[in-house]
Amino acid sequence: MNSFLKKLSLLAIIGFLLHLIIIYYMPTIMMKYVGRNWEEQNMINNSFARDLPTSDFTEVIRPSADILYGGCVYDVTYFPLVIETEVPETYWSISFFSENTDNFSTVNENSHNFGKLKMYLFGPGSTPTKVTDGFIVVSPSNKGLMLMRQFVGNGSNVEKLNEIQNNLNCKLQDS
Amino acid sequence: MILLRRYLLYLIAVILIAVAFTYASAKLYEEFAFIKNDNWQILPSPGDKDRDMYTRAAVAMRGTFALSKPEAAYFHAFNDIEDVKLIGNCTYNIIGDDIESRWWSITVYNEDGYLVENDEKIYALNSETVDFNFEGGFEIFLTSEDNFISEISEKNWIRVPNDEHFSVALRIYLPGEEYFSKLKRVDLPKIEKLRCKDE
Repeated sequence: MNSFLKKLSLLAIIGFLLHLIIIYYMPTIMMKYVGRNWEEQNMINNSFARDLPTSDFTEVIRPSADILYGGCVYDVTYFPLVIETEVPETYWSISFFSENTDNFSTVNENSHNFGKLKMYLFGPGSTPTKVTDGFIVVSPSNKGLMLMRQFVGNGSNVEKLNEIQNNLNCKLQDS
Repeated sequence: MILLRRYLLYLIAVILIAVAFTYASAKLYEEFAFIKNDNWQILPSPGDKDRDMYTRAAVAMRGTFALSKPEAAYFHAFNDIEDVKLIGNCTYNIIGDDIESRWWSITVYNEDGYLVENDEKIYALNSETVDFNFEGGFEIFLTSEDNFISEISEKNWIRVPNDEHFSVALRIYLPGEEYFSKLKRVDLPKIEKLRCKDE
């Protein structure tokens, strides 16, 4: 093989490796892009609530117009996060997304269908044993996002759903 | 200086090769990764933590926070049943039967993936807002024509963007675990073109 072909092959291999790196880190970059204003909006380890999406909503693409979204951006590097909410009579779910956007856990009406719900979110590698009053979730990354979805249906219960969403509470266990 | 220029050229070549691989993989991914069912396409495991890195990247670009199975199935349609791209100067109907699940919804998005601006603020119809016929099925119209809405159908319509391509999402929540093993065969509503403004 002559020197030109050797160089071309080497460039192609390095180019392919760079391509793999781009693909691997793309979700993390997208997460950082979506969350570029989270810190200044004081959303880390605090709950947030969104109105029903309209055509003005451009935070994420393909939002669901039938779902009321609330949630918490989390950072459980030092302390676990405690999440408390009432659950509605309509469909709901609380889902967790790691830093690379994997949906690593979801709790919904099949696990808990009435009244108050309490969850503890721990950081990677944790093996909590002393929690007895709520669900335990262990995140594979220290940072990520929890989303609570409530189905609005025909809109007749939207006031109650808004109330639940506004009362969603996320706080670090130490605070 | 010559050496520096040579390494700069190598760097540019590497970046171009990486971009070419990424572009090609995106095209190939669209072709092979989606399960197709009539006019709908679906990624079988969009939010799962054990999905491959290409799926993870594709979902991050298209929807970012997709739920894993069996929580939800997300079908998307960019073409009608004749495999022609959906466009806003045509009127379509979506005919189907009720879908066994906790709930489902049909939403229209513009070319950029955002909800379509309309005075009526109707962006989607779901299993609670759709008007079912006597047989338990439904017919939903997608149109940008005010005349069509007043003439043909006062209910069951969603406005589409005028003269612009658009897409339709069918979300099905809690359809059952086994639903995901037959995504290619499940009965889904069909999108048919009714008429176009320039015809």
